[in-house]
Amino acid sequence: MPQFNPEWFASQIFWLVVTFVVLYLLMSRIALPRVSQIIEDRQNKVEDDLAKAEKLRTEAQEVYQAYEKALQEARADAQKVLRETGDEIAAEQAKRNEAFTKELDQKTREAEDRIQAAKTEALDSLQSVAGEVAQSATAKLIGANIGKDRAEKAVKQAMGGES
Amino acid sequence: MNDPEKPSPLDGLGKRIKAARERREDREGSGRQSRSYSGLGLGLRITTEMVSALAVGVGIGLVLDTWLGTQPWFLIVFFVLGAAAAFVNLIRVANQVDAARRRDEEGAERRDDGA
Amino acid sequence: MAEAQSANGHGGGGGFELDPLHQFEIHAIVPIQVGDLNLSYTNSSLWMTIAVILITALMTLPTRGRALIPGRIQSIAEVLYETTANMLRESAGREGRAYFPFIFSLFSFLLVGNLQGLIPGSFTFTSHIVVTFSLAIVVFLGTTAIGFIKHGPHFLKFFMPEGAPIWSAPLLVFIELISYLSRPVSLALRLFANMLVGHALLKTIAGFVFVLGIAGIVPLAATVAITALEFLVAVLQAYVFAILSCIYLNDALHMH
Repeated sequence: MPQFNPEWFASQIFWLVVTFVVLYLLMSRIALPRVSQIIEDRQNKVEDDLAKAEKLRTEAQEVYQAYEKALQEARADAQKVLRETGDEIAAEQAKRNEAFTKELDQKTREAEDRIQAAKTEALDSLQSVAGEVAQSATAKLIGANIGKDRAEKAVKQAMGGES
Repeated sequence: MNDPEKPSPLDGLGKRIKAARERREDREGSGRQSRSYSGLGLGLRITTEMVSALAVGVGIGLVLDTWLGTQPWFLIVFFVLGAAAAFVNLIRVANQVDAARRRDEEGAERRDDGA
Repeated sequence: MAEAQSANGHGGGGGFELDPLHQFEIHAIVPIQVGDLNLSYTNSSLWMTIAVILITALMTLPTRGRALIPGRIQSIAEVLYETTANMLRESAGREGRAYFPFIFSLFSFLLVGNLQGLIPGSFTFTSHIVVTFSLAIVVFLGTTAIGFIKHGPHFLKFFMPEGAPIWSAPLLVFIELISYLSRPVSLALRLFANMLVGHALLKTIAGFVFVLGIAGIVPLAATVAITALEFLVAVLQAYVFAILSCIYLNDALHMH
């Protein structure tokens, strides 16, 4: 077996030592610190990024909440204004309604009064006409002048009895 | 009117940030291959452990014998000692494999790549 | 190619003869003689040099830009780094950190050395016991020295199992000593044997492919299968060598 040929032992060990020492120096001086630095940097970077994302998210959350709140308030304000305006309009309406009703009442009453007065006047003139008629009728029928006053009284009595 | 309890669109982002953090911690925690051996590998390992202990014993015996001119007594003594050491090695490997297997089983739920 | 050469080279006289060991032959490229020592630059040295160049290229070229988002090759470099770092941390704890460059060099050197062996016509320097034994001895002497530096004479307790009766002490100390001394032997032997057997088998069967011609389909399929297996073995053996070094280091640092 070539493995046990001592001819090459020294050469193998010598070159093993040389190459391995070179490898060790290259790794420990250059390669490993660099890779370790890269990995560490990346860890820090990722950690930083995550922290930044978290912070931004919190900020955005706050802004969003403020916006929601403002929206809510605006909505409530609008509601209030709407309600107040409605109330105002309703009050105005009621006031006008009332005034109109009052005016109408007034006018009705006046008209009624006028009718009453006309009615009374008509009745009065009716009475006096009826009295005169009764007086002249009496005079013609029985030839007695009963006088204006009595005739009117009698008419009134007759009418009053009726009524 | 809008529901005031409706989820914020930022909740999704929050969940993703949290998931990323957990993934990182997971990876830092494990990231280790299983050390369980296949039957063939284990057999080879035990064989080499035992053969080398025996070889060291025989070697020491031969060296002492040629040095002191006491053939074959040291060879016999150290052959026996080497055999004993071989068994010590065997027990050690068995214990190690046992411990490794137990650790693997414990970690099996946490790791997916524990094949 | 080694297998073709061996098949042709030995196939002249009637029957053919495959020499699976031909690939392990060492020959000088630049003969160097220092006194009695033959320190020639050989094919073994060449593949060691290639391994060093490959590892250095892998670890330094893609990381030159120090990109935070790794490219494909930088990812490989980082996986190699993290695997070794995890292996060391889990086996030897925080104090093992100081020996990371050594463990990394060891692991990557063996890994690349083992994998190089899968290239047809290459030379597998890890299939030579001198090489594996030298590395094992470095690990062995290194960890023993660390143990004594860290614990002083206390480290000798390592060889005396606790709670054992005093009369059995000499016997147990000898057994423990042999067991301890067997560490580098088993370390070297395991890697050597795996690489030797695997690569010899692989190249023998690959040799049949050329000899058998059309019927070579069968060994070709076997070659593919064994190559896949050898790939696993190459990685696993480098890993086992490195992790056992870590465990020995842990013993030296923490004494069980």
